[in-house]
Amino acid sequence: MNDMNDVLKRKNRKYNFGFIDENSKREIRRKILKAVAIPGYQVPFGSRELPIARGWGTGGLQITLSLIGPDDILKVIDQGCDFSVNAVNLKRFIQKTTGVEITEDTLKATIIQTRHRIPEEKMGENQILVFQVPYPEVLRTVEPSEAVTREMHAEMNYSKLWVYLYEEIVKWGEITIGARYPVKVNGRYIMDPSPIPRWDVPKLHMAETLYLFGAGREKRIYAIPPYTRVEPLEFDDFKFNVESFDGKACSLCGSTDTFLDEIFNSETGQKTYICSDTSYCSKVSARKKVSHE
Amino acid sequence: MLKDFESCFNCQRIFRMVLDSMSRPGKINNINDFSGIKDGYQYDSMLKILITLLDNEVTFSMSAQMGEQFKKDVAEFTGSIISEIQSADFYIARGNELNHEILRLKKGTLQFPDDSCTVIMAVDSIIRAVAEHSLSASRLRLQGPGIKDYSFAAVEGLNLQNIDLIKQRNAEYPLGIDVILIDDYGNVLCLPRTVKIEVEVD
Amino acid sequence: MGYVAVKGGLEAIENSEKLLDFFRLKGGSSPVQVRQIQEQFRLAVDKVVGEGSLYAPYHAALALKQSEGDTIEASFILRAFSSTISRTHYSLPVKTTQMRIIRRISAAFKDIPGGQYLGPSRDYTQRLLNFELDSENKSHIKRFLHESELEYKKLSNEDIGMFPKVVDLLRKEGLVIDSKKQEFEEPFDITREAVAYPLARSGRLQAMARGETGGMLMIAYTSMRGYGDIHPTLGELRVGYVPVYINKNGEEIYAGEVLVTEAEVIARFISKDKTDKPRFTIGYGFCFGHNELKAISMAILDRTMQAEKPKVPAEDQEFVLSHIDGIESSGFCAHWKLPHYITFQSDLDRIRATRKKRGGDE
Repeated sequence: MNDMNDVLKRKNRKYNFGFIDENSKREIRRKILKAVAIPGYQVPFGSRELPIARGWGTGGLQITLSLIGPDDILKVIDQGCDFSVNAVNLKRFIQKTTGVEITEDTLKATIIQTRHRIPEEKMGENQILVFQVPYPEVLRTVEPSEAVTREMHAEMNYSKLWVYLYEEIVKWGEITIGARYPVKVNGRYIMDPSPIPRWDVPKLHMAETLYLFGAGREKRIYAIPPYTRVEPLEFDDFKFNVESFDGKACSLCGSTDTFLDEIFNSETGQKTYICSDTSYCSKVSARKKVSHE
Repeated sequence: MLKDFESCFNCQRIFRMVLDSMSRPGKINNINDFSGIKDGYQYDSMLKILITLLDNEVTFSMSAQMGEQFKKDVAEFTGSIISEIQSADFYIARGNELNHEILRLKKGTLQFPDDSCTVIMAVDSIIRAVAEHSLSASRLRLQGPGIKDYSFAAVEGLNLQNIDLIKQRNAEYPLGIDVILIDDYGNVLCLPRTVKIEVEVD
Repeated sequence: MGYVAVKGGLEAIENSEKLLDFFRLKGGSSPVQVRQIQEQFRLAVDKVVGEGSLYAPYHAALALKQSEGDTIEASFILRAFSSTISRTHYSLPVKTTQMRIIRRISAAFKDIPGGQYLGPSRDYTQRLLNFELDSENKSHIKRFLHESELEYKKLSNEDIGMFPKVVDLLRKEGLVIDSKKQEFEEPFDITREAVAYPLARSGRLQAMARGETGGMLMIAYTSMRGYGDIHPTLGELRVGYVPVYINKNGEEIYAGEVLVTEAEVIARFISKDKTDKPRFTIGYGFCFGHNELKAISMAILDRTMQAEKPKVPAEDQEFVLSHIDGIESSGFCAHWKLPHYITFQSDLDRIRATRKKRGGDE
């Protein structure tokens, strides 16, 4: 029965600002600073338990919760979209525990947490982009053991990955990596940029914005500071290239310079395309509407 | 003892400024806006940074010049544990003293370069500088990740030989130490191990 | 347009939550009391306190009610709850020789000092579906309790007392590897420090104490069945209550007692070199609650992971420890339900490009 009283007493408990306790935030903050000081290197951290499932963005979430303050304006996207269920759920949780202002406008946000996309609009110096990362280890494809991949990074021994890319070309005549395209950061570490499309990879290079990456389940934090060299792996005769949307345009806003989602119209059975960045798409649509009127 | 230093929100804002300075070496942020810790305390700004970053999970070591009382205060306010210099997670020192201890600080291993010391160094003043300006202070010309082309900062109260020692300690990237400079006015400047430092003396 | 992206957003989530309650309650039976779960679904609660890594039986029972009996989900809720409670003290090492025993057996010796106690066990029940339970009512329970009260009274007394450990008997004879040295090291804490391999034994034991029973059983079984048999003998299995003390300003303060299961397996012997006398190796298992399969699996895996050169999966620390956490594995498995439009779009781009190269039409 004591248990019961205890529970009743705690029923109206207030959670700490940003849910996780101050000491845990301190640890994450220390690790973020080290991540920034060693671009592309995965800093191990004691990932905390959150009421969001592992694999659903807990790494990004812990970074966001350690960064965020009452003056911040937050945007959360999943697949480029502000309203998908997972984005909404994360926002709901962060807002419940911090009360910060939420926005859909890329340019208005001070912190953007994202899964699988970098917004189309160019982000600036006073913003931070936080990536949710499922697989922080870029070498996992070629080497299952953590102890071994750590050694490979230590020795800058990336030959296995290069061989993998080479064999892809021999077998398929193309590098078949779609998203999660490996990049070399600051000429030292090869890094997994999270499952962003190749379309977004060039945005990592010499950007104005600080990029932070969090993998909760795998317990790693890493970073790309602003103005840092980020180069996709490529061969002289096999250059890196982004997804092709040649001759295609968004059926909502008409953009021809954005990453497009392929849609099957269930009535006509036809393929159409719309922008994956929904907030940008509606901005363009609204602008066009105004200029029409 | 702690005045009305509200830990949750102040630490958050101070951290963001340190993060901004660490991400953009040469960029100076000022943490003076936040309520002080103790009235008229000599190392007020320094202590704010320490409370933001240190706790009972990490260790620190301090140069004797900072004074025995400050060492006790840091241990008390942060809960951090005093350790040998070679194993310290944080090292606290004044910039004006020539400090060969820098060469003994933990620089990490190739497997875990992050297991390395962060130096927090008190200097007299940090001023934003531009290339053409001639100042009495020594000017640091910085280059590396976080910096578009070059950035400049003028620091007073920093023994230039310490810069050489830091460069020596950071010679084998990714091994190295990361430095946070803090002046008497609450200005913060960071020198992560990636930054290339050139000293320009007029 | 005709197309609405899969983004119900807030409304969909809220309706979905409501539907959970609807499906839980639509049958119209009387509500399950948390106390009933705590007492009558004892082993489910014990699984949850162990895998949730928080000794809070009441909260575990509540979580089981909330999750409609899904133990992984309940453990998840309990773990998230523990993140909100600050860790104010560390307990002193628990001494299982002080255990108030409810069950204690050894498969190594017939007679052990203090004797064997079968205790509450399903091992020798015949697994016949018991239809009488369907008509169990309050008066049955009352009568049963009255009749057995005298007989079982000693369970709450100190009659059974405390026992020396079976493995200590072998230790005295110098027949087992001495692991005393490790006992005095400050334990590794996987909830605070990031895990790197090889991991200290204390960290391995902690990871397993929090591990998911089914996952650990499965990997331990690979060893038992043939992939690197360690030839285990169950030296001792004990279940009971151990006192927990905390250190406050140099003073030992009693904080309460927790129900735990402890297993020690005696395994294949080794020697340092040809002249060294061989000694048995020991595998150790310990978890919150009454959970024998987990404690035994843990003891076996503790021993398999002591292999110097791993040859089979159960001997590979990284393989075992990175895959036994139920909260991590279930979370990641569930994440495949999240949209992967972008990565798939990128894959489509690649397959089309590759097909084009081979001269096929797009």
